[in-house]
Amino acid sequence: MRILIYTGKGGVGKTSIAASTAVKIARTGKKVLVMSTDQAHSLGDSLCMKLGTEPGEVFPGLDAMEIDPTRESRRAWGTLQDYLRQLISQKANGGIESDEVLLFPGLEELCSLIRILDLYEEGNYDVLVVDCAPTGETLSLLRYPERLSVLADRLLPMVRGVTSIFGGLISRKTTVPKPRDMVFAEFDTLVKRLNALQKILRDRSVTSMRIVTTPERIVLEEARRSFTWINEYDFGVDAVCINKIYPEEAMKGYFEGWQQMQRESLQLAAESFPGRRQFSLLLQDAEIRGIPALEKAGDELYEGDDPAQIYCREEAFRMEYDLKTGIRSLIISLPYADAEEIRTEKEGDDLILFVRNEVRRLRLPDILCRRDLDGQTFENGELTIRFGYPYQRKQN
Amino acid sequence: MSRIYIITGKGGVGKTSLAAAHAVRSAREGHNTLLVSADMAHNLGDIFQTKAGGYVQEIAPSLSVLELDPYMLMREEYPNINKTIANLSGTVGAAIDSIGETYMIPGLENLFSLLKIRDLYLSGTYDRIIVDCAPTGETLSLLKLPELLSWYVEKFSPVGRTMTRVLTPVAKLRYRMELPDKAAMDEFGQLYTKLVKLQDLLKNPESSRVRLVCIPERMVVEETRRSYMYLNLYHYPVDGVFINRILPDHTGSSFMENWQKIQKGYLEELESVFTELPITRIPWFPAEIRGMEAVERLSRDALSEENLFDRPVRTDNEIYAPIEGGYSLTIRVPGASQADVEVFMREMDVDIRIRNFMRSIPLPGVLRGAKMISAVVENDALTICFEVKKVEKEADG
Repeated sequence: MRILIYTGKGGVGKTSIAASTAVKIARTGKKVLVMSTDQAHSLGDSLCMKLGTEPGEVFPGLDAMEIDPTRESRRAWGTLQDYLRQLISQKANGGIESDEVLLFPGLEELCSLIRILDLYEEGNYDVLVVDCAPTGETLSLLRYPERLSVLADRLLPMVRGVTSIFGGLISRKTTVPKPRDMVFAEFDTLVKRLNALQKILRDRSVTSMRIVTTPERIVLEEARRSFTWINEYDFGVDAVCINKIYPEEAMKGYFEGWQQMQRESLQLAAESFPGRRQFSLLLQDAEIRGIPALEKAGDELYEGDDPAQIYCREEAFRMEYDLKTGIRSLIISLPYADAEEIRTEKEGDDLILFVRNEVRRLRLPDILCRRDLDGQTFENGELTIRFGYPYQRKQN
Repeated sequence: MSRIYIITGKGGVGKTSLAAAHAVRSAREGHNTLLVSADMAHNLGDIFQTKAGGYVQEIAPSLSVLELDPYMLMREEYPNINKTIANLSGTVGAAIDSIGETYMIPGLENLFSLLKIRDLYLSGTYDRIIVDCAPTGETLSLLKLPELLSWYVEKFSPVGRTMTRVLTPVAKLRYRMELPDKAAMDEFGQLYTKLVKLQDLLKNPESSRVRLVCIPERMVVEETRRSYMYLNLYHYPVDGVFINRILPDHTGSSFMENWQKIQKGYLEELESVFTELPITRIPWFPAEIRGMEAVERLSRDALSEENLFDRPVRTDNEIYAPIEGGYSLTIRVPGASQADVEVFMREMDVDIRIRNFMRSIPLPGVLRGAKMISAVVENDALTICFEVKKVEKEADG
């Protein structure tokens, strides 16, 4: 099965892009499910039909669904939620606010992703197209399972032991019972599911992340940051879709000044996602709704391509950290380059890489932004760029 | 009395330039103003075409800028908590330190920035602190947790301290775990107290205001409505919504005129949601806002309102209360009688028609799947009662 995750911030049109992609692939004869994980669903709007929280048929070969994050979240850790709620409402008069606070927005989104795992394991589809609400932020939560499992392995036996004291204390001072074994079991299962999810999402031959952006400068900056983020946590981006490019006729009169800006942005986009396939779509004259409009958009976007294919398997970079010196290194694979042909510069939060006649721009990972370049080496087709300690903060 | 203005909204709606315009206007009025970016993707330097960074820098008379780095704040100001988290996560190879730096739940890092902003406020140096901030209502809702847990913290904190002391050697031997030491426990205590105070500061309309920025596009409208719902639910003082990027009437391009019609629909929708708030409309400028001159122009053109920094505000726009088997929602409907009001519930919204006027309120997550059981108008207030179906945990698979 192939899993295609379309991500990008609100307003870039990723639902339309995801829906167009699903329609396009379904027309090639593959069995496709398109799903939205967004709280505020718009997939139904795009497809011009009412969608449910379980797959329903759009046309033979294409199913669609809108995930209900609250429901998935309850499925994943409802017992634990209930326990926490009991613990809180016992002594604080929280009302609706305390109920709501326990929904943990980020975690709900994560639980929606677990549904992807279920569908993968059921194996009823050839391709799963996911319209994923947030940018890299939610995916970055997926870096926790490894750590969580370390915690689960060590902390849980201990907490179980300790609850005999602590739990007794809670029970004595309140009427809340000790956490039952079910609560622990649920946490354990949740961690295991997240781990399994992380594995399939990291598998380049199964999952491809695709970033949707517009050529607008701030939006593009965020997409570049998202690209870095996704790479940092070792997920694979194989393509980038640039949506809502202004056609010539839109940039007349009042908006004439945009021409220059759009050109510059498109240039920046071309330098920012090396090795990734770029697709582009012009701003349409109306919102993209209904199957014919989605088909048209899909054809314009992918032309003759089958978007179910894998466009890129390589990692953009990886990071290493030297515990003793505190030096962090960014390692970029440049298999066909020579050491003399490579030059690097740091400009603001960007790393600019000149390789022969090619310019690459990488938005640096957040933890490197405040550091300075500290030399580089090129060995076995890999460029290692070292980053030194952050500057000493000036005292005011 | 100094005040914090939090300018919030999803990325890409232009909140940084709007925050900058607020700051420039305030400085021009002669008030000592600090513009803080709490966003990891900083671009204050970009906007003013100057170098901004992790320390306060004066860039014009009465105008200073600061870009906060929550990772650095956590490391520098809470070193022991940082160490504890790193230790708790165990000896997973070389990742130890990187955990301390990056082991942060999205949204939570904003809280560290807000804590720093409270310190800046308390320093009394600035009349106005304008914050360019990513957190939405969801993040601010996290500030409720310390209050909800206060009873436990007070009761169990001493016990917890003794327990960790007793258990530390055991944990180390049996479970290969480092428990928090005394310094870390003290730091947790301080952090807790500070979070409680931060909530008080940000909820008080005298000391803080929240302003929402959005653009007339479908997804952004949706997100902004939900943010506003959360801010209302937790009683944060929201005193305005700014709609950015409105296409002017005559763009000279028929293509754009088509989009202008689409925008009109979303503008109407925004008006039906933010009925209780002043709405500021900002035209779409045909160039990016860059450089002091551009910010000044934006501030002159879009923020000309006289009492921009002193708007009236209410925090009781939508009041939820627990009732038997569910919750009630009360909103003001001045001058309306029962016969004037019709209420419909959609999936996650209630639509209220008051004579010819439509209002739409998004509902919090706990009311998903709830049933509306009554809607009563009394004393200029409409109270809607919801019955919450008890959700049973579904069996897996």
